[in-house]
Amino acid sequence: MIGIINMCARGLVLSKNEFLDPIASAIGDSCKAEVYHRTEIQQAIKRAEGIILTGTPLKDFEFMKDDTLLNAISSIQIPVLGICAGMQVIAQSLGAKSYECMELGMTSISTTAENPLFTGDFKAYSMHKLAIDIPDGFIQTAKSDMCQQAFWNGKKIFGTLFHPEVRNIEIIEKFIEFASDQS
Amino acid sequence: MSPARYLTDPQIITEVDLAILFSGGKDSTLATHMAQETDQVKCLVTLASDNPESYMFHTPNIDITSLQADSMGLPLVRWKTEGIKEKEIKDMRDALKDAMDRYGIEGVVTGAIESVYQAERVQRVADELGLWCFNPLWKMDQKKLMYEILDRGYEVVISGVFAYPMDDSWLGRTIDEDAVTELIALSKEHGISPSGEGGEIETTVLDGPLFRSRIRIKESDMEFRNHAGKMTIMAAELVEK
Repeated sequence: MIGIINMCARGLVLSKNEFLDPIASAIGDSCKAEVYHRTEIQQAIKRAEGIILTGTPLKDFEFMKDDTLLNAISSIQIPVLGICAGMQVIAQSLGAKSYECMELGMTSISTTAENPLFTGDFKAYSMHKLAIDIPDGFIQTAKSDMCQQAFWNGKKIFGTLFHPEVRNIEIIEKFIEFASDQS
Repeated sequence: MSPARYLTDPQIITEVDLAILFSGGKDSTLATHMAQETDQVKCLVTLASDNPESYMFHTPNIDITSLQADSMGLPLVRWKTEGIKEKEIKDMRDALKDAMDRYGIEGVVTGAIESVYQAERVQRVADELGLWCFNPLWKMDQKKLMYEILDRGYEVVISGVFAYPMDDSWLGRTIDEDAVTELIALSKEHGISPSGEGGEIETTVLDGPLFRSRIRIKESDMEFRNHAGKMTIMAAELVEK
């Protein structure tokens, strides 16, 4: 089972349609998926063979103040794919710095290191105001003209600043396969 | 640089006061309905474009939005735009700023489903104005969307067709189960988007659960040539349901 972690503030009900449902659609029938709010991440970690952390609206940074989430991510042992805010929170939990960097719309992405999720150059949808430094123990796996676009710790933790659920669902499919192989 | 200002901003997010970018078609009407269920819709915002080629705002019967707004009991912020690329984005910004000043909106909702072109531009303008931006139909399965419209009880007519092999029998046709079945068949055979997301069809909503009165078309004009045409509503009125 894959746990989809809704990173949006609880009051933003409409955001679920935009940031969570497309990931659930991308997973489709390929495996079972369960949805959790970020405040319930411990339950998801106990049950899931992998988790996907969703993005959030441009104005929603509540997740950065969620200590339960940050603590859970810093010690997680199962496969994780953090998307946008999900990548930012992985970096933050490991002490990496964020900086202001806005990208909106289809963005040219270049793969910079071999990894299990993507290869080569491609276009992907970006929607972020912050970018992050690469945490210790991670490698940059993709970049755009403006910032680091993806990382991997060489084991089970991945992050993409771009949103693969919009135009690159094969990346989500590869993560599902990866998580399934690890279990 | 540290994102300190994001970390220290106190945000207690509950219901958001919203404007809907409203064209009078099925998508922005469904987005309005979904927003009404979760937040406070304060007004509709319509951009009436003079440019039939506009990617952002053009729709054949934009003037019907005033009747739709009356029927839904919502104020309408209506702005004209020449539809010149990028200048129309400034027009949208001015319209949303007007909605902020008049109705205190905190966010904007769109009916975008697949268009990254539209989504990117609305997100950028919303961010400049400090507004939340929500796209509740984003990436929604288009067959599911069509059945959602039917299940919620909306009366929707096709007011424009712009794709082979659609003929003039589609113009003015009500979207019912048979029409949805045929649109899905056309999508399989000819690659047409079943919801018209690729611009294959334009729609106009005449009635639905948000409407206190139904819209009756009194007079319309049909134009059709080479698998493209539109039904222009010349006169319409609100009638009791």
